[in-house]
Formats: sequence, C-alpha cells, structure tokens
Amino acid sequence: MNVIRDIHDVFFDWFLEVNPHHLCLHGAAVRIGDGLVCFPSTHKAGKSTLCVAFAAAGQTVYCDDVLPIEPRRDYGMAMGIAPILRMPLPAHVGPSLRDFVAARKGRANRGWCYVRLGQDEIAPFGEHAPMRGLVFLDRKSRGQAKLEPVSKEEMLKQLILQNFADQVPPVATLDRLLSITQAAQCCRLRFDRITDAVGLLIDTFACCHSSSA
Amino acid sequence: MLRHPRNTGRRLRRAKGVKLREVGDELFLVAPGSDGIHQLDQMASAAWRALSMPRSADEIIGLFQRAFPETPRRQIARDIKKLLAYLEDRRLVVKATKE
Repeated sequence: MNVIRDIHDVFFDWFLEVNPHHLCLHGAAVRIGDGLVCFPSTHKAGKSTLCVAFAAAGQTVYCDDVLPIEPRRDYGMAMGIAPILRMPLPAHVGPSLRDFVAARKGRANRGWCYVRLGQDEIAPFGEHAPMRGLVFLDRKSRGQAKLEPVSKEEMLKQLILQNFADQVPPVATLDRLLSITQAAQCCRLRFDRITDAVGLLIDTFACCHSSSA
Repeated sequence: MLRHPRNTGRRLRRAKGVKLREVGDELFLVAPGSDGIHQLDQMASAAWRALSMPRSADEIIGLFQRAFPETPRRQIARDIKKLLAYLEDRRLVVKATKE
C-alpha cells in the first residue's frame, strides 16, 4: 500500500513533467451537476470520506487528493485514481456508507483501504469540468450543516498554497487561480454528520450553472 | 527576519516590473524573476500603496501613526520595519536611488 502511494507521487511528478502548463492542487473534488466542487486540502478534514459519501449519493468523484487544472479553460481534470480511506472508518460514519464502502473494498492494509468506485461513481482519467465551488471543510462543528461565505482573498491564498505545479510562471499561476476563485462560489462548510454535508452541497450546487459569489 | 538593523531614514520605492493583483482588501505580488507569489495583508497593502512615491520607513511609520493614533508608535515602528525588510528581501521594493 505504501508503495502504491509512493507511486502516486511519482505519477504526479511524471504527469506535471509531460503537462507543464497544468496547475495541480492538493485537494478533493466531486462533480455535482455540471461543475466541480473542490475541497482544498485541510489536514484530517475528512475529504476522502466525504468524496465516497458523494459517490454513494449519486455524484461523481474526481479526486480525493490531487486535482490537476488544465490550461485551456482552467477546468479541473479527473485522474481516475480511486479514493483511499483511513481504516477503521470513523464512528460518525453511518451504516449505509459503511455498506457502500464494504461492497467496494479494494486493496487494503491495516490502516488504509482503496474504494473501488464503479462507472459514474468516479470520473475517468482526462474528464474535465468547470470549477463551480471552492469549499473549506470544518468538521468540528456540532449541529446542522451550514455554509458560510469565505472571502476571495482567503480562498485564493489557500489555492496558492495548495498548488504544487512549479513550471507555470508565477504571474500566470496567480492569474489562473484568481480567475478560478472569482468564478467559483467560495465558502466554508461547517458540519457534523456527513449525510447532512452531502445533502447541503448537492442542494446548493446541483442547479448551479453560472458563476456566483 | 532582519539580519541587521536597517537605516530607517533611507527612502524606498516599489521595484519596477512587480506584477500586482488586488483581491478584496489584499494585494498579491510577484517580483520580476521571482518564482513566488507574495500576499500582503491589509496593513502591508496599505504600506505598499504608500510606496507609490519614494518614502522612508520613518515616513511610513508617521503615516500609520496618524492613521492609528491609539496604537503605540513602538509597535507600529516594529511592524513597519519588519514589513519593509520582508519586501526588500523579496525584491518587491528597492532603494529609491537605484533599481
């Protein structure tokens, strides 16, 4: 398993070497409706579990760790890499999601397990979609899931930090990430229960066809 | 971090060729030939704006003191010196006498 994860790192290095105009963000992304909702990486926020929960709710996972951004329209791009979950699943994961994961259990060791998502549950390598939402995850909150606005400057700062593609000149990187940030709805999701979080984001973004802030 | 005390009387100006993007109240800058993007918070952005003409650290400290009379001068001076050292180290500002 650790070897496979090392291969992921090598794979992304190779990918950026042959695609020097792509940006690459640490973060997860799912397609909801016709666009992507991206969760810039936050340590132990549960983005992989959330991604699998979106798949269980009928949405399409793009990635749970790294999202390339193609240079033509700055769309997010799927790599077709299965999400990986820390095992055992946390106590707050409900029975239906546990069953969903158990039915798709892939390669595993004592600490981690790949989830073998089916067609339409995970986007194939190369699929593109526009970025509609940029969402920070805050799993610590109690009570109902809620979305709070995040300033464009705070989100842009985070995207700059999470971008590890270093072949794009910095001004171009800044302009592209700024363009993505300006076009997307930027917010913070405070949640306790995953099902609440998934439902709220689907309600918010499923019918989102235009940029808004 | 300051490696050595700097003369707060010498004038600084914005370096030529710095690319700037304004987002909300904050500025994002890229120095020419640099591989980094620098984000300035509100205070740093205000200092950058003050450097639209050559100014010394002492002059900028004076501007901030007039804008924030409740804040101790020592605190403003410390923050401005630290900020200008940061900007100078990253070639975002230079001595006013030469590029």
